Amino acid sequence: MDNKEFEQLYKRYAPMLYRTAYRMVKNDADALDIVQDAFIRIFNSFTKFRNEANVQTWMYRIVMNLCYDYFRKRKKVLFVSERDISDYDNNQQLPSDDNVEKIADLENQRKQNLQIALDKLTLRQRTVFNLRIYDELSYEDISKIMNIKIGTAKATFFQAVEKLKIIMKEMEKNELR
Amino acid sequence: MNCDRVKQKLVFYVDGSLSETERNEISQHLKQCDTCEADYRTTVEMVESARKMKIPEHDDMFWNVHYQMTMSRIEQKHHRRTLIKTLKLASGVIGVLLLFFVSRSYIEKSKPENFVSMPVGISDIAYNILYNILPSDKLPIPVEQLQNVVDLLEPEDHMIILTELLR
Repeated sequence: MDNKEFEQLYKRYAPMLYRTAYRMVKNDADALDIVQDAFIRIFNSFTKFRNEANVQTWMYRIVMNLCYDYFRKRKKVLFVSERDISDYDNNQQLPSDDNVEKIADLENQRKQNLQIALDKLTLRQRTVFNLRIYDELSYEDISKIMNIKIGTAKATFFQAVEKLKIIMKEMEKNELR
Repeated sequence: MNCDRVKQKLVFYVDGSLSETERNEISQHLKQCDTCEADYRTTVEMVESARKMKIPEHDDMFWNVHYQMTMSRIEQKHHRRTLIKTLKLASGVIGVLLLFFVSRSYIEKSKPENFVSMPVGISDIAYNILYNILPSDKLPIPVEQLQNVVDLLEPEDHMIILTELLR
């Protein structure tokens, strides 16, 4: 693989792979490191992989494996601190109209709840959820990336969504008390 | 389609992975069932909320710098790998040379005291028979004489001459 070809591949896929890694590790610097490591692996083994149709799936799999390595190495419990969320949301604040603020607050609250609920999913459930909802990959691609059956991917997605709904419902109940 | 079946399929109805027939069946059911309709709304809100969650965005300039950094790491790794290969090769060669010199000095030490070094021109076979099997004082003729004889002959003939001398 020559450098020009690699540069094109990098510019096309790096932002996408970064978003995927970020959703898993919830940290900008770590997600960027994962993307870098992924591209080093891609560069070193691209000659073995010539089937263009599956390049994207193959790259996703590399990123996911690196994310799993990251969790294994650091034994890190996925948790986004409330400060991180509020810092980010503060930058996204809407104009100071009362109604708009209330809606924004509700929306932000829901996002925070969802973030906390997502952290309560198993690693496999979160991976399938992220790949399906954010990356909009087919169950076939997800099954290839995660090396599982299509049926398992679908069942895992179903379990993830149901679990999220239950957790969020519980959280909303607690807020109303 | 009953409520249980709809509950099983609702997630896939929302993510758009169902067949058209199944979609129509669920749409029909949702129009008639308030419980499933409420479940559908919750699922849609949750998925939409998830899709709205934002992550830091980096511009093209950032990715250019990141690309350069990645390339420099690839080059560093390549240099390191080449260096390791060279070091492995060098250590292999040094090992072989060391083994050669150590074994040679060991062989030199283990030679008998009255060992006579091999005269020039005499074949390996002749040398082994004369100096390793027979002690030098029991040689049938002096070494110099023997050398003069064997120098005139081809190596193949050494064995014949030696066999005669040793008889």
